[in-house]
Amino acid sequence: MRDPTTSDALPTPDQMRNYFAAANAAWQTRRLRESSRAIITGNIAFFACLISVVLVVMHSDWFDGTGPFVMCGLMFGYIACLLVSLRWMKRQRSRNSVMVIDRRQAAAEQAIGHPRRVAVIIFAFFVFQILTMTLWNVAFRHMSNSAILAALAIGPALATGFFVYRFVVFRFWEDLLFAAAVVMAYTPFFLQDWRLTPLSFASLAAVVVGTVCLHRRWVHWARSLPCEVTDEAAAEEVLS
Amino acid sequence: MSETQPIALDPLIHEAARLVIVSVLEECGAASFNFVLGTTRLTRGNLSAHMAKLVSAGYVAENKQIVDRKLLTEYSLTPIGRKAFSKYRAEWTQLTAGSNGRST
Repeated sequence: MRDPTTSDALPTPDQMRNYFAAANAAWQTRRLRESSRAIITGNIAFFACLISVVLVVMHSDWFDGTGPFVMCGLMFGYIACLLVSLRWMKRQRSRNSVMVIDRRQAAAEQAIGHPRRVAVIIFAFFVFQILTMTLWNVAFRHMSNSAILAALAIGPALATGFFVYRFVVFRFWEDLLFAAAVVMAYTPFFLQDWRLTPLSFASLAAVVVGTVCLHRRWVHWARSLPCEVTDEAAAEEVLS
Repeated sequence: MSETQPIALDPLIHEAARLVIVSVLEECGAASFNFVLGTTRLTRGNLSAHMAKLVSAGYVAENKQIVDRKLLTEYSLTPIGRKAFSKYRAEWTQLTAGSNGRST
């Protein structure tokens, strides 16, 4: 049998098996990589739900005079949780010898090394925010209520689509839960039925549960490794 | 019938263990030695030997750092490695497509 590395001979069954084993390892890696960044995915889902919760709090009759306070509490609570969770994730990663990051994160870490790039990105983000707010303010004055509702539906539709897409790609039931949470969060607002207000808050709890479950997949896998191998002798050598 | 150019698969990637390693690294921005060890299910010695070959060929970048007095080795595919792997996959697809054509 001829060797396919040097000719156009057919691949042997062994070579086919090797190729499929590699494809399977790549698939497992993709899933593990995504479960290792569960905190980031969870924060994205939480943010998507939080926007709707704020909308519900603004309009619902459940919070007579306390609406603005609840809203501020939720927003500041979210920012605090975001910072704490990201810091926790970073510490976990630096302590653990089993580590994987995706390409975007690797690129972002490289960009952090260039303060000018970071400044440009932050500046562009703020310009985008100001432009968006200004344009929406102008547009809302000329739009009917149904048009405003339709415009506001774009965000949740995109978020739901994003999580369904992730479910199709990675096959994590947690992504379906995130998609359902986004739908749940916006339901009271779109139906204008304020009796469903608790549903909106329940979506936040659902996101937390999903994030914990997704993170546990990573923890279980990392613990299932034979033993955490460290190279302390080599480290001592480098240190000395 | 015209003579077709024989397909030359990259022998550095074509080896079973290295094919798995490169496939794993292709999905990551960077991965620690222990992560690659867990996903490829190779032995430490085997993985080190194959990694050394990939590093010396310029396909994989190695970054060693000390965290909490422990050595953490990170690996990532270099642009050359990514290009070589995508070429390998294209050639493999061409090869297997040829086999489908011939078997029918």
